[in-house]
Amino acid sequence: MIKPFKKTLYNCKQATLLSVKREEGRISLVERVSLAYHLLHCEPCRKFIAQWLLLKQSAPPFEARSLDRPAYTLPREARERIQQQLNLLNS
Amino acid sequence: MTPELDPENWLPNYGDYLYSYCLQRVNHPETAEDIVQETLVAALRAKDGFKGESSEATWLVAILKNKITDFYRKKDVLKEAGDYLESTEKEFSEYFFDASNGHWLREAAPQSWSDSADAGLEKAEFDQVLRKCLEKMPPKLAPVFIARFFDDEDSETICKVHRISPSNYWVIMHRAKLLLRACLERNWFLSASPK
Repeated sequence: MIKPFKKTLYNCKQATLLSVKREEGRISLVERVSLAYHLLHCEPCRKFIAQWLLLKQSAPPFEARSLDRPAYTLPREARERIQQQLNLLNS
Repeated sequence: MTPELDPENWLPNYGDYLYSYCLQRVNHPETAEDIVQETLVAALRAKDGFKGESSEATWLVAILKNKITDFYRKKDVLKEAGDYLESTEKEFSEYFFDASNGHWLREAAPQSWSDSADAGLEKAEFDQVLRKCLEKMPPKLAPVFIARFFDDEDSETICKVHRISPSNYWVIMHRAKLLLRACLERNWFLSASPK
């Protein structure tokens, strides 16, 4: 499944770490070249990166939906306690 | 009173949202309740400073974010992050990678997702799976990852807030991404529910 290469500068563990740095634009030239070279040969790492590009898109709609439909309910007791305090301060 | 703000309806309108937002970031119900309370009290005190430049909800979330940051600082959630990362390094690596050459283990290597994988991300069921996967993430990884991924904060700010070194930041993000990808693959992309 994973094509073994004789002398890769970086293994998959390091390559995926570098991909994280590259995504945030914090990668040196040497690292960038090494990563590109690794990716030429490594399908699983290419998948890892492509899948993260996809997953990244899921964050904003996830946040937007959370605003419409909050995942959790503020417990009634806490709600009452907070409301009382707000009323007190607001009066 | 400022016309744009409606403090009497803050709890009915945003209570659950603020609580959910907070709970996801502190992972402890009572703490989340307290922080929501502090947030609304602080908002009430600061209401004269509200200029209407953002919506009421955005303004409240900004205050909430500051309170969550205060909490992280006070609790030093990532104290000794370096020691933690070091002591768990071997176990973590060997879950994904071959110890001898750093290549993906067969069972951990990314699988192909269906062509319609991106469509599934729009579904509410996906949110639940994502939330579950985030809950399972080790407590030393989650706050950093959430700040980057959902709050879109830059790495320098995150390092400062959590008092971690840049190299620890990269290790945390790397681990979080390996874990979350694997969790979503197992429970969403390769499970029966998507499409």
